[in-house]
Amino acid sequence: MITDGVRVDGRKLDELRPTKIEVGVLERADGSAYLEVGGNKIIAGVYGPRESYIRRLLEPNTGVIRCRYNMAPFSVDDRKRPGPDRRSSEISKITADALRPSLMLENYPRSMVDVFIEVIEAEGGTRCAGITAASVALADAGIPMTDIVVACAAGKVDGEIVLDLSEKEDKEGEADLPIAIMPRTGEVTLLQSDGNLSEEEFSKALDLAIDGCMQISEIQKEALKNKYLESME
Amino acid sequence: MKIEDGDFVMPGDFLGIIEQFLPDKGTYADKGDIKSNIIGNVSIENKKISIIPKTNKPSVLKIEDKVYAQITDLKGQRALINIDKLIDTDRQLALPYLGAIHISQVKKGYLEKLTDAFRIGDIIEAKIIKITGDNVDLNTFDEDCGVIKAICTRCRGFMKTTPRENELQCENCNKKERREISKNYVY
Repeated sequence: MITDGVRVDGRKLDELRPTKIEVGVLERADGSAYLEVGGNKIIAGVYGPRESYIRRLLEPNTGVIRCRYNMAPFSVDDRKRPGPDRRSSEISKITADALRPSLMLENYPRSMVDVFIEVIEAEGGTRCAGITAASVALADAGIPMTDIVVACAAGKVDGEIVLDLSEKEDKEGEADLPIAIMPRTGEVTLLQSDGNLSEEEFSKALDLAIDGCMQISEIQKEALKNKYLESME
Repeated sequence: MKIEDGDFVMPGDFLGIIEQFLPDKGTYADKGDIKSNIIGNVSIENKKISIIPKTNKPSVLKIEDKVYAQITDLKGQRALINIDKLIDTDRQLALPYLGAIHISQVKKGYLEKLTDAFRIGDIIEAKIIKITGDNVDLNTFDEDCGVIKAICTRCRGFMKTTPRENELQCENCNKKERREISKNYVY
């Protein structure tokens, strides 16, 4: 998988896939973002804060966030059976948990923010890409937040710690470590780990993933600037 | 980096320290630092620092705002209404508000019965005059406030305006009814 420090897709060990973010792509959503990371194509839409009739989810002193992560049937090589499954319910939950610490919903009690993440094409690392896109969409919706959450994964392939695993590396590699952070304070809002890493490898992967997050954070900011500085003139 | 009036900032951007400014709208204090929590331009006005949003923002009602609403119930002196949305935005309301119009707030002058002004199901335009928690009081004094769409209480057909002031007539059964009509009434 790795020859002379070059990976199967020609990247260096600590190199991200080419990333592109576009803000405000959905007309009817309150906030939205489109994101491409390598072969991933993801749309995130945000609605709210709004009144919700799902009473049991609401909190009397603050707003709540609910996420839905969904993969399109045509997003992967073999057709995926549509609808929520074990994997997407988990990702929906961890996405909501990763975004929640950044939101300041105290002024919107008994309301709900809905985040919809649709994976149009998948090529490894969709959960991180989903969080990254959703956070940009939340900022686009004008929801008060302490920081723009960003996510990135690191992992172990052929005994080497590498950044931003592609689908092939994820399947054939030894470990995967997706994290989400708030880049300005460095707080970690999501940390998952799949596979085996030694203590040393783990801290190396964590540092590398945080490094990757910082790079993606700049792309997020650039995308928001592109939309909102443009509209100024 | 020093922040100046008019600067473009994003959530989490550092604006200054707590001794420098009073954090106002669109900002928050975090361990002695003032930071932005929305995308927008900085505004500094006699030591108060706030952010003027550039994105569209969550729909929260303010006094003097005009809204579209529907009458859900008439209770003696009070018409209970369901507020649908602010007139000039497309965004859903952020909070579950409970609206009401008192009989004295329907029109200037005396109104004997609330049923001479509104009926259940009418779509109205109204102005917000008081907000206490979730309870919102509205009035329909303005010319463009009042019923903008009504249906007949007998046959549920649409009502059209008649030459007489504040009177509507059903297009199906010709029943005449009294309403407090807005100048924007749509037939």
